[in-house]
Amino acid sequence: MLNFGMSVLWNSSWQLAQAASGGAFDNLWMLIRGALALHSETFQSLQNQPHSLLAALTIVFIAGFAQSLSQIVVLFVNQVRPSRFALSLLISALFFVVGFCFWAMSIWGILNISFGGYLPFNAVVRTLGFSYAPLMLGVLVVIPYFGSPIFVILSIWTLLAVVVGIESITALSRWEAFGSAALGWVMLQLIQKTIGQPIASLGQWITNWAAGEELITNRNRLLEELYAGLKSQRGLPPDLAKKVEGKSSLPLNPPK
Amino acid sequence: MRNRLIKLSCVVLLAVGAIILLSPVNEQWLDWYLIFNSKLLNAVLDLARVGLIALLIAGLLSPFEALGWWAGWYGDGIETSITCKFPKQLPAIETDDSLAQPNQYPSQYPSRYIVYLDGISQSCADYPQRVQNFLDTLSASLPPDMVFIQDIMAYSALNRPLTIQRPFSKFWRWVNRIEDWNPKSPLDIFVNLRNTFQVAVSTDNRYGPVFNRGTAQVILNSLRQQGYRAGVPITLLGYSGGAQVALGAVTYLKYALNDVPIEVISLAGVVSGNNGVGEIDRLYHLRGNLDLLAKIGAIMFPKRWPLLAWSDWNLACTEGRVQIISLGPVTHNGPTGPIDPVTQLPNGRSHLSQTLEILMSILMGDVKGKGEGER
Repeated sequence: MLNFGMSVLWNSSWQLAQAASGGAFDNLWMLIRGALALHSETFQSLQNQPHSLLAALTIVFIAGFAQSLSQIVVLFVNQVRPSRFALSLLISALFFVVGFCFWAMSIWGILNISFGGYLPFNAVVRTLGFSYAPLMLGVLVVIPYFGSPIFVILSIWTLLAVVVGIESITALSRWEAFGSAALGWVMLQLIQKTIGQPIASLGQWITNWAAGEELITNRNRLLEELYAGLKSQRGLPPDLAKKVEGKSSLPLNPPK
Repeated sequence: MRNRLIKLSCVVLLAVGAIILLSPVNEQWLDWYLIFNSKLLNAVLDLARVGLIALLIAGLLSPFEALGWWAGWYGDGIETSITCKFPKQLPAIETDDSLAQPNQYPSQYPSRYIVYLDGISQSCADYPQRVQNFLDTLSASLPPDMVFIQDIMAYSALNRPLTIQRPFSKFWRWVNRIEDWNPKSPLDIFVNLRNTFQVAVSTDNRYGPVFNRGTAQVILNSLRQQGYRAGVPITLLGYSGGAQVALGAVTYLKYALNDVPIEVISLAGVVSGNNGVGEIDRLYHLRGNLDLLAKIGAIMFPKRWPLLAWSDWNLACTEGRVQIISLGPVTHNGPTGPIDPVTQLPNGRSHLSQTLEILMSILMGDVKGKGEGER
């Protein structure tokens, strides 16, 4: 049974690899290294490579998955079960890709307004997608204490890659490229705060569905959760005592 | 000015180093040694690279014990079967109404509870000979109405030793066997590294609250097992990284025990100053002049930089709640550390007797005065 399952998995993986073979996937590691090293030639060369759009979105998905690991504390404090934990990470990575697409769209709009000619949308997605390569190392953000400085370094690295990427596919100068990325980010924030609200609500609903409960995300409320069960149940208000009873992981250990 | 320049240079070097290490450039510089064509050198450097990767993986996995405990992934909660030493002179105490009426207990009840949290070399409930000797001597010196709790696994939110009920428990038992056979073996570095990551978890803004909640629960369990009654003052005595664990637990202990007076004694402690310090009644920070780790701790944690005058640590120092006590020419641990019974100070006293005298003065309430300016 196990062998059968393994062979199905292997065949599926092989077929996927075949489908994706050729073009950008053949040189994926080389392209990622070029993007990490901020080589403008890499961003120019990937425009003509087959499957480079899919490769770019794959990079964004991996970066999104790595990014979602930095938020695992929220899932743990909410006491999400392991299977739902994995599902929540996958959903979070998918939302990251969706957010990326909106950002790419806003930068694309700005570039086409400020840039003389017409720039295809998929060229922007390809470029920005590969610019996200440094965020694939986002898994390192999980390391305690050093995680936060690593996150700052990776974010700055990614911003530099975005600027170099935009500069290499347009006739804009480096500062103009930086300005368009910044404006795109501002526009994304405006969209999120206005017409993006229903989408954000839908996203929250899907996140809660994946976690199997209504997730607490506010930092202060998460910290408050940790105080549950510290005092004996006798000293707690009835509603909180009931809540504490429900937490199997909080041994109250009545004194012997 | 010079110190600031040095600190700034360190931060810049760290940032540049991280970028170089993480970028594709490392392929060029990591393979430079191939030109020497030496198999031994290649093997040594490849081992170093493998070690670095193993270290990264250990760091990545380190928060999951505490987080998994809180989420209930391990099912069985905190280990409570490790019995704590109970002083013979005190009667077993019925504690059904332990939280009912503070300060309403007979005089034979404890006047203070002292909880010991060991340094980063702790792997199980059996302490190394030097530490055990220190604990025994301190225990014998304490007045009969003080309860000394000393069997807490400071670096596990599950209060679980490294040597049992863990995926790598066989490895840790093997390390302990080698250490027993040859105390000078360098294998204790693995235990130290593992526990250092737990100290990092305690100081981390994301994981720290969960880990510290776990250790607070472990301490609470031990206190309750020892018949703790509300209102009795508590002293947390933390050695090295144990001081950070103690400070992390203070906020939760204060809440759980209705704001009971809690003092922390940091013995050669490496403390971040970002949690617990704001809640502490008093922190006694004992450190040797030759203690490099304590000095590195003061540099590594920005909240302890004098520049950040508004940090909890600096505010506590200003308010005199942090008292720094010098141990003289004493290092962090080992034969020249603060608990060695043989090595002598210039005045002829052993390191251990000096440390014990200071600890007893603190516990008996003889140490007074404001915090010193040095941070």
